[in-house]
Amino acid sequence: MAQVTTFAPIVDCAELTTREINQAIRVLCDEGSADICVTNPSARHNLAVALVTGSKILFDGPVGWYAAGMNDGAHVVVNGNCGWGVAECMMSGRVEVNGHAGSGTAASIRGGLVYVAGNAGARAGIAMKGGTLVVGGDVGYMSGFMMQRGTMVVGGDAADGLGDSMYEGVIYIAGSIASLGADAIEAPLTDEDLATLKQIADEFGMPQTPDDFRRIEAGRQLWTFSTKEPELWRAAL
Amino acid sequence: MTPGDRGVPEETVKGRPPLWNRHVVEDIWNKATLGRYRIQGGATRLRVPCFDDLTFVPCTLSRLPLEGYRERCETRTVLGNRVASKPIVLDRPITIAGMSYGALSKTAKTALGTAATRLGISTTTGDGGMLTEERAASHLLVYQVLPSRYGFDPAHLKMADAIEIVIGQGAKPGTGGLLLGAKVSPVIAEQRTLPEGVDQRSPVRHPDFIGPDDLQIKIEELREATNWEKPIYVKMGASRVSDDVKLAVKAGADVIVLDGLEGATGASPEILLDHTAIPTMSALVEAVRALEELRVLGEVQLVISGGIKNGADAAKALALGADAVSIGTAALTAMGADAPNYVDEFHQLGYEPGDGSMWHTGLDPTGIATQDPELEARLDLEQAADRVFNFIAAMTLELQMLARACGKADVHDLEPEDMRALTFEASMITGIPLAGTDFVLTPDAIAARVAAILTKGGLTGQAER
Repeated sequence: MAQVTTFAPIVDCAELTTREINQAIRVLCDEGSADICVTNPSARHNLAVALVTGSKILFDGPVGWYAAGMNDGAHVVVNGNCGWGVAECMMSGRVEVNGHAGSGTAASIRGGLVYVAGNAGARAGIAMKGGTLVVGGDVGYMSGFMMQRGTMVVGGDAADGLGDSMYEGVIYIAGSIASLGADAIEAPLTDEDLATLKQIADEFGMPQTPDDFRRIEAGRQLWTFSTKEPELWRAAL
Repeated sequence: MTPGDRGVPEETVKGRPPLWNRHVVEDIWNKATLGRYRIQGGATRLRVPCFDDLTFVPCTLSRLPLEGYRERCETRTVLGNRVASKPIVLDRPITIAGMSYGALSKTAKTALGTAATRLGISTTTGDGGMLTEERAASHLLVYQVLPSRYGFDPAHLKMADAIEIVIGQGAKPGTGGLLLGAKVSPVIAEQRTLPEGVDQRSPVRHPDFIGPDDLQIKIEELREATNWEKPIYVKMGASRVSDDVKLAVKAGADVIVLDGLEGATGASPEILLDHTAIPTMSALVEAVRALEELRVLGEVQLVISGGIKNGADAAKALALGADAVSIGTAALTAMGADAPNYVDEFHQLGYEPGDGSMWHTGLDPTGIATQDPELEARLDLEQAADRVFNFIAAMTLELQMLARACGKADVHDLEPEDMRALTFEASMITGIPLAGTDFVLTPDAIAARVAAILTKGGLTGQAER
């Protein structure tokens, strides 16, 4: 589990508004604090959003929706669970959740890395446009929906509709898949895939070996309108 | 030789049944070939109740007009001054609606921004994000946050002057955007992180929120991300307007942007253009009523769009309670869209200039709704900006002229009492008396009249029998 130094400045949320918490974090980032510890976040929404910094921010407890949303560069660690949309639309940086995450985890991220040690809810990795999402546990319904680019790694199982309507990108999954979504297909692992998976499994201490994973990608049948696959289109449209 | 001589029964009925007119038959043939719904640009072909069904009743002996060509008539408009520390101040109550770089060429988008800056009004980004040239050209730029998040960049969010969360649009409420492969050029594909040439079908639901309670949190996030400086607009297609407006206000919207049935789009399944949403005028009336019920009329501003085509439409919208109008098709038409300069090329596409429905093809001969560099080169940026400037300047003069004729020194002082309805429908929708009568044909008014008659005993006996 990631830690910050014991000398890190502390922002105690207990008596502060969301506005005041975020302002305090930004001031510390602007002052060059490498590590910032935020205590008593109490599942408050919209914490550490739209940061442009290289600082590391540790939330010592659960956070609410959109934690580290629109992040650009910060290393955010949550020692607890988080709500919907963690790291949504992230451009760069790193967000680690040492707990479970709600729906829409890493929605529409364009870069950076999101790691969820536990499970993630529905629509994990929805509309990803780049970056990497690693979920140690399970992912919910329609995860990877309309994924455009990037990499999603799932150590556990996936609920229905995995990878529905993907444009591009790749999903690696070690557990079971309740069902694939429209136009999502399984493809053989390449040597490059295996190397990527080994690196990720090693970095996050995942118990799986690269061979445990399957590769899911777009079948590309939905890229253009066609009358040749009427049933696929009926389901997809 | 008569038909009977050829064995054709003399009593043969001639003429096509209205239900099965030429357009219906062509529609069926078209779908029988395509195997899917038809797609087109532009707006509905249906005639629906609209602002043309209202007329102003300017000052005569009973009211005092202002001098139409001289006296001052204020047009300044402020949007989003409820919470944001930097509200939008427009020189006139007109904005340019969100249209994407992708649906439109870069030159067209930049020309809109250039014209808007000279006019002191705002323009709006679209699906695909912010174009560098558009930002540079636009003094006031509204940044759309769309379900697709194509090209979304937090840095651009911070560079914007206002934020517009798009829930839907009037042309196709309940359905996401559409950009056919011909327009997904290498540049557009990269901006949207899509494969080149793909038929892009945008999602309709946002990836990180679903309902109004979620929206409330999302709005707070956007405020936090931008230091509570920028007004937050919520744009919706006109559907269940009363409920939707109330929910958007509750979620924290500073400005409601309501897009009616007549709203156009770069591309849409045709079935949605003609069979979804309610007309702009109807939507406006419902929205004003909803804001009144919440006691926030004037505090939360209302921008109405969908088929606004001249100063009279703007004046009538303001008289019914809108704070500003937003235009899209009118601005593009002013720029030269559908102009009869390239008739042969329109014909090759199967359209006539003025059809206003070939924008989805990506082959717009005027260089406006295309990503083809050769076609785009036909559009001169300065000329295009001049034409949009001239049109909106003229539209403003029309608006002021009508306001002065009604004795108003501020266009926002126009009111329903300044108008009469020309149709039963318009009267019922707006609550404005039908011209030539003092009737207000709203359901409540009709009920009141019936009650009055019953009270006088006129119908009591009948009712008792």
